[in-house]
Amino acid sequence: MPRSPDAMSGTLESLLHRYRESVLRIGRRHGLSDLLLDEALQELRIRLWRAFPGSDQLAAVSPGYLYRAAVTAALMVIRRRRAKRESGIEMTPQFEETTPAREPSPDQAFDESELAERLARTVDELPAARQAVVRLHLQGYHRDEIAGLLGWSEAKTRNLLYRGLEDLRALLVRQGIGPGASV
Amino acid sequence: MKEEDLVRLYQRGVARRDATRSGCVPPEALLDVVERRGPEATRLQSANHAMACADCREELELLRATRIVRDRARLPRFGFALAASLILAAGLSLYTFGRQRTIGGIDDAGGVTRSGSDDVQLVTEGPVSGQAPNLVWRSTTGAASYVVELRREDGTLLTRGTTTDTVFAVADSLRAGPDSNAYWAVTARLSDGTSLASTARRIRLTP
Repeated sequence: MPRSPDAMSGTLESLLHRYRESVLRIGRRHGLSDLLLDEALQELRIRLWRAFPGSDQLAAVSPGYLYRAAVTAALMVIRRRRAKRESGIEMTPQFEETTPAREPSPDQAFDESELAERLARTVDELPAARQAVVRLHLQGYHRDEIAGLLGWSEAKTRNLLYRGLEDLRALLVRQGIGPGASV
Repeated sequence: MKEEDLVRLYQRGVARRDATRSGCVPPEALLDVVERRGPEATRLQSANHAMACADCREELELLRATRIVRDRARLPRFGFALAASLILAAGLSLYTFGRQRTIGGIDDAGGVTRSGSDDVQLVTEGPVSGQAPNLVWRSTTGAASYVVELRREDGTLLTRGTTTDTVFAVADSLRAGPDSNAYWAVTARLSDGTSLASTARRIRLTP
């Protein structure tokens, strides 16, 4: 017997709420915004609503099915977002607050800016594997997360990170940006 | 240059580049990174781009977090004891029926707990002795505590303990007899009420 729309809606919202909280708890630390996640969830909501019209099965939807549906929804939203960007219709502007720990002087701000650009360019010179682990590390990913994402053992990740940072420092020293660089 | 300066400067440098970025990788390539599909060189290229592009990084993070939630949801939620027993039973079956495998192969199987996922990573292997009595594992993000179980090859529980640390000392009394094989496993209890389990690993207990 089909469920009432209210019961269906309650089950769906409860499922999506739990899912949203879990995804956000993991992703927020690395820059996942509520905006992107909510767009993906709206897409997922529509897909689940169509796939389970008034069905009790929704409450027991398997993690595997939910994952595939969520990935499909995420890909749809990502493609849509890129299409908007390319057609010049920018979505919500990014007003990212970056509060400096201390107010730099104009000279210092210029130096930092120059240093930041040179550092970003220098990372490009690292071999691909070391570059990936160094980039992830510098973006705040924990070693375990890096190992998980790249499918490497913890030992390999640790080793490549150590060597990558060593290479990076050596390249910076060659450009005159040594341990005593003022930042 | 100190590590914190490197981090701050790198993030600033990447943010400046975002305004002029080009050549974003397709969404499917980001999914390949998360699902570890395709050649490693291609995946590294995609990951490197994503870490230098705020939009792609956010998209990668959406897919990565979705995957992690899926992996966690696949864990049994009906209690540690039963979960640990299943893990150990699977480990013992593998050992009993697959003695041709190496010791490390038990972990390599990946499917002992759940395929391809090893959320709590065990470190200690080989003999556990008076000189080295500790079972060590890697910390898990979000873990509030860890439950450690040590069982004999026949499944008999030797000891079980809960700790907030990532080290568990095997008591002298458990190593007092002749050398014997045992299995150990760790379950991380996360602050959100869910759990993550390690694979079961075989060790040798020696006095």
